[in-house]
Amino acid sequence: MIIDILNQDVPTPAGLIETVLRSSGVAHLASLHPSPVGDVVVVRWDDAVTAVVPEPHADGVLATYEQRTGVPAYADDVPPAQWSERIEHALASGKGSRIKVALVGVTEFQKDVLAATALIPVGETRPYSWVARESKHSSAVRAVGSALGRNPIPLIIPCHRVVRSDGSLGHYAFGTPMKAALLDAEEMMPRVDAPLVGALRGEVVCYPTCRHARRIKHPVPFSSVGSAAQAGYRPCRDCRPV
Amino acid sequence: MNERDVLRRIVEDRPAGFVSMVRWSSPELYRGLVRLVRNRHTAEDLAQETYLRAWTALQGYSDERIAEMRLRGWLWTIAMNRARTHLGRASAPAVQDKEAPDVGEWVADSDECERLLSLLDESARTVVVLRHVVGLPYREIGSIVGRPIGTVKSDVHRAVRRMRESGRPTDDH
Repeated sequence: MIIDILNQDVPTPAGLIETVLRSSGVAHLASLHPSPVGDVVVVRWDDAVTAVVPEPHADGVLATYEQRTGVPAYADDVPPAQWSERIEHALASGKGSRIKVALVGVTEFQKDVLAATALIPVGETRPYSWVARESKHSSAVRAVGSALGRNPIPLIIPCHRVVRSDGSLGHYAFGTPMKAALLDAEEMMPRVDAPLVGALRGEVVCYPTCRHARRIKHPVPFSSVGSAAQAGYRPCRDCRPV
Repeated sequence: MNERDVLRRIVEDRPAGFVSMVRWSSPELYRGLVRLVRNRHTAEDLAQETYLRAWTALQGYSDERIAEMRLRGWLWTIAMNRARTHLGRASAPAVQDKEAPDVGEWVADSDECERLLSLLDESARTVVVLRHVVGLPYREIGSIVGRPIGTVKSDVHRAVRRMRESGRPTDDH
């Protein structure tokens, strides 16, 4: 039948869809870069990072990328030199706040948690309760921990800088030893083993890793913002202890 | 996925919706373009151009406008505009011509479908491809080629009759 002949299929060339999605700039691009935790695949959309994945796990993450985000991620074997420089510098120095990020396929809650986490400066740490409060979800400390565990952009969004109030490191997707190593590399080891510190004749109480606290010659330890307040100390406006 | 799902996806998320649209429409777009321009390489280039223009346009459309779109017809209008200069070309260079570029990309005269379509003039070929290769409704074809539905219908019927008459005696009833 004529109509059947006209109807017959013409197979679509493999790669047509990929070419279209790449050339339109809609597809995300994945490139390999060195980092303090080993080689990582960094996925970007334009100039914003959407994911950082350790190389051994990359295939699995990229295979489900379109399912989670709605767009595929294709390999970019030779990324622009400018991009490589920027991202590798951010990974090596821990200064991820300079890199634009795009959180795709995450909940609003996660976005709030990760946005707060992104504020933690290099070499400093914050407790989970601080992240909960900063992200306006004070009562959801455990959920904060889970959300951090699912951080799609580790290293750039420094979930490794979120620790327990009791001083222990807490969980980390790459393992606690890696978390310790990263914090070590950032030279955050505080001189005082206490939740909070103030200067001897000071007015302000800080987290021990706060850059102001490091300059204190004679640190006075405090166990809480409350006990510090009783001694006449107000919370630091930079590290905002909770 | 159907057209409504795709449109909904485009409204809620332009990039993800575009991906859905490309996946949903590319087999049909490519197939139609190959039959229109008779060359696979050209058809691929045209498909790409069509989608690039579509993406640029979609980014500027409001949600309301997108929700009301007739997506297939809209895509094919863009595709026909891109394809215009490639239609009605002389058919594939003679196989003996080894200098001809992309000679392997031309749809061979031995392809039965191509043989039938080559019996038609450019305008008849276009409407037959849109109707019977792509499967667009007459209303859409009419607006794409800028002719009344009635005219398009009779052009298609006449072309099919022509192709039928050229067939082997064992064809058709």
